[in-house]
Amino acid sequence: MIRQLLEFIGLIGWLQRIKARLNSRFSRILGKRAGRSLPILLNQKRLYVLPTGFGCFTALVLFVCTLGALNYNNNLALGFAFLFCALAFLSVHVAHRNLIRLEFSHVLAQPAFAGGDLAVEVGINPHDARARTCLNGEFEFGTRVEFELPGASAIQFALPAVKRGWQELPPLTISTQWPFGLFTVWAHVWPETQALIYPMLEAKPPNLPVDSSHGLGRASHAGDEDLRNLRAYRPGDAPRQIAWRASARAGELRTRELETPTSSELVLDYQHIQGLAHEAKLSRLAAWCVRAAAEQANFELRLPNQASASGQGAAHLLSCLKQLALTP
Amino acid sequence: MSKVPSNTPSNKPGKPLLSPMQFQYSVMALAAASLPALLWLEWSISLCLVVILGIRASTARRHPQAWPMWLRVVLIAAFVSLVVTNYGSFYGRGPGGALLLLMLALKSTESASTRDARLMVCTSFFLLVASFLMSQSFMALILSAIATIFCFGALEVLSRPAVGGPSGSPFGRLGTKEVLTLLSLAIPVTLALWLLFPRLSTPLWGTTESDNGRSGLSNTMTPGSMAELLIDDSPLMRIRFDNGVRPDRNSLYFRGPVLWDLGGDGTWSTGEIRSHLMRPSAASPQDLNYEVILEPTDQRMLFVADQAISVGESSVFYNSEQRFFRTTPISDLLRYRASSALSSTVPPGRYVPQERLWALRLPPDRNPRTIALGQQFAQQYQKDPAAIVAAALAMYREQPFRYTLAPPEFLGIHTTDEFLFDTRAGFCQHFSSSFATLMRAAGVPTRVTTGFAGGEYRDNAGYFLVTKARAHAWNEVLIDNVWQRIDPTGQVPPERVDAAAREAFGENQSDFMRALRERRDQIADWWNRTVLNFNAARQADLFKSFGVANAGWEQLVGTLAGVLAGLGGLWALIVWYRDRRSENPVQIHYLRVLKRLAQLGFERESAEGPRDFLVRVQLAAAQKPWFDAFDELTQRYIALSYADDLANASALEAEAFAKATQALLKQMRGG
Repeated sequence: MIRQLLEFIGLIGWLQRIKARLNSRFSRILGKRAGRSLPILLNQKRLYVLPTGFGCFTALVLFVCTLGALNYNNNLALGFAFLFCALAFLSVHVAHRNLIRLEFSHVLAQPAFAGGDLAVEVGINPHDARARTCLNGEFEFGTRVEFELPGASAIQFALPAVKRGWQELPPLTISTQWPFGLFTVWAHVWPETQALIYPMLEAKPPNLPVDSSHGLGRASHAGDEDLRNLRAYRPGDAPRQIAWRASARAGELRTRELETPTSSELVLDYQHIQGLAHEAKLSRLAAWCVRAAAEQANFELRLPNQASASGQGAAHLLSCLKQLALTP
Repeated sequence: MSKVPSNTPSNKPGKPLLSPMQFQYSVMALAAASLPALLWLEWSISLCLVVILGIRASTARRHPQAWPMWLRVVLIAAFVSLVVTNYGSFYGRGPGGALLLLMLALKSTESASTRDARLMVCTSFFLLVASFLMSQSFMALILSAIATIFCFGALEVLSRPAVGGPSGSPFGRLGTKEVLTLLSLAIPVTLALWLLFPRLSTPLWGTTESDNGRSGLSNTMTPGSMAELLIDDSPLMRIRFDNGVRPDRNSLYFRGPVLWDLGGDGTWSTGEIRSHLMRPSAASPQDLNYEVILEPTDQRMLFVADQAISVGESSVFYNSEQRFFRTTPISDLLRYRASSALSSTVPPGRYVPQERLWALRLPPDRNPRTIALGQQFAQQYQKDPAAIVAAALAMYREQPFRYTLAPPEFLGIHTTDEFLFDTRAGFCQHFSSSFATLMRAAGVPTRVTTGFAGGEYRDNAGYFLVTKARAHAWNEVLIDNVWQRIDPTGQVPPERVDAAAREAFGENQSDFMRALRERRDQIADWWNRTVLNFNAARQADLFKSFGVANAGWEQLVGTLAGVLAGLGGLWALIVWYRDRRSENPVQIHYLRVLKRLAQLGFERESAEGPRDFLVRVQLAAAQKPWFDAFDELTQRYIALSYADDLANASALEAEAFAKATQALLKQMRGG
């Protein structure tokens, strides 16, 4: 009833906005102060404690209890009031121990399309063998993830990919209200990680601009493989990119990073798209790139001030999308 | 919490719902918290409480929905009327507590959100503390301790996510372990707080004096009203006489209300205030000094043996009826020192002529036979008060008066006539009432004094016990301007005391039962003195035993802070030691290798995993003699560190890893 009245006045929305803004500003200041380079270890300097709303209410109840017991000089009542207070305060210690010395080893932000979800993986170092319960992780504006240790060596977050280009990750809040929900202990983790955001994919792009004189040419198999680099296998690498011989030697999968220059039939040219705004053009180009890669076509991307070589495959697609993302 | 399991009740959006197990646990916490209240609640209310909470806890899993609105409204109405019929009103501790409990039980029938459940637990805390205002027995302590574990266990369960959170039976589950660990930490802190937290020497707010005090004595005495009290063998006070003095127990009379007015229905009452404040008589070296521990009575009167000299307690006053009062009701155990000059006379107040008049009034048209007998005595002994009293006492002794706790009912309005001439059976109340009526009729000023008389020595425990069954009514006769104590009940020879009364006074008990009772009382006395009666004065004594005289609150708070800091430091030390032991040795060794590698020019980047780092080192240093060993060590490190369960990395493996590290480091130094 009272809540509805306050909502009607608009007070609650106003308060929530203020709280969000304060929280955001605080977390930025606190995150910066504590240091941003990985690995990030949660130490005393990074942990903050505040009572929850329920904690404040309990404090009030316990205060009344203590005062009453003192007034009547009722020793058992006083003893139990003190016991409850002691348990409540000691729960801060437990909550604190639940978070402290938790170490975050890496933060991996997968590239994402604007308007979609940005998948972020935050890795946890198994620093000591202590079990940790009921931890919450929450990126500003992102989803809330509950996790516990042992059981999670990396936590997956999803947060909105907003703007094309390099997007700095917002601060991550790691908090716990365990064991009694009376206090929140939290830490701000603000790694210096940037996520690459591709242009928003056009929902229904027109067909690929096929050059009729040549037809949709299939890329012939790349002849010479210029072995530039060998790296560990990552999920998503195409099987034919795997250097089987080297892998057999190493005893684990190794991937070749290839660059195969081929002649181009399909040209995706920024200048040829008419009647669209700049961002919309980029969206269409991105959608075309994705489709062309799906059809395993050789394609070439031409942007106002740069052009990529013609190519095909996942690596080519990613480099094209990166160019699109970073186009001014 | 986007997913709501299908078996939780629908509720307002925005409130996180409880899992059935969380719900069951919170209802159980509430049930546990109401256990101590069963010690003092009326049985019908207890029954309602047990039934509601029992049904709710046992069916929570299958039917978590809130009970229908109409049923809850009906239950509210029923409970309110139940409280009113039991207590007569809502005011006061008893009905207030009962109502709170019943409404909390009802709250459990509609709770479905975390917020509701937490509210229930928080109110349980209040309930547990408030219960001690009603009963501070040892039993209440044990029940409350159990309830504490349940309440905090419920909070622990409630702080976990409802979905994907704990499931299964609430018994013997997680939560309990954490709570017990915390409890073991909290108990020393609690003890320190309890011992050292400064107490209030005067209460912040007073309490109203209960109309029907727990001492059993009140300002009126209707015929037969004391019968119930005389079979109540709960303790009233325990007395320790200084220097091992053992006064004759029959000479100890502890006075309560002095009754002046006799109504037409045979009721004695104090009437208008007939006393004035005065100074007690001067102390003398022969005075009896002692310490009293008085059970809570909710009344203001202190019991002191006649003739009272002084009470060593602040905020007490003394009046011309030789009674001591405290300014506030005694709602908790009270310990006070007192001294008395044992005598059977007490001096009158300042206005003796008025007291004489008040002590001669009789209701008109009542008890004609008694009045005739009184007038006959007056004539016979020429109004000599001492002779009249002696004649009356002889009458009680010689005629067949019987002492019984179950006297026959009076048939008419002339109750004293019936007692003196027809039934001749009754207890102290009947004897003192009839004696006063007879004396007033004979022109001898007489009043009825109620209180407690006698008691039992508990020699092995070193105290003198006065139970409520020692309640007594006797008379005081104004002779030569001094109130002289006369006890007509004592005139009845022992052979005319009936068996039931003997039983009530504990005379027919077997030795075993008597020993058992004494033992129980001894424990209760120890409990009272050490725990319940710990107050500002005891705190000062505690400091005195450490050589600090006159410790004020500054010393108390300072010591408290010191003790708490010491406990905190001790705990920090324990935690530090345990953490050091639990630190992963494999990790430490691996870091040592990395440090050495950094000196050789291979620095691991912060975002680089051990595997990637190995590959990079391989590209540059595959030919180095130590590389193979480093390769192997890294593989082992990965296997050990990223195993599913770190605890499974056995000590043996860790030791082997340490050896391998040593060998590698040696190799690197050589290369």
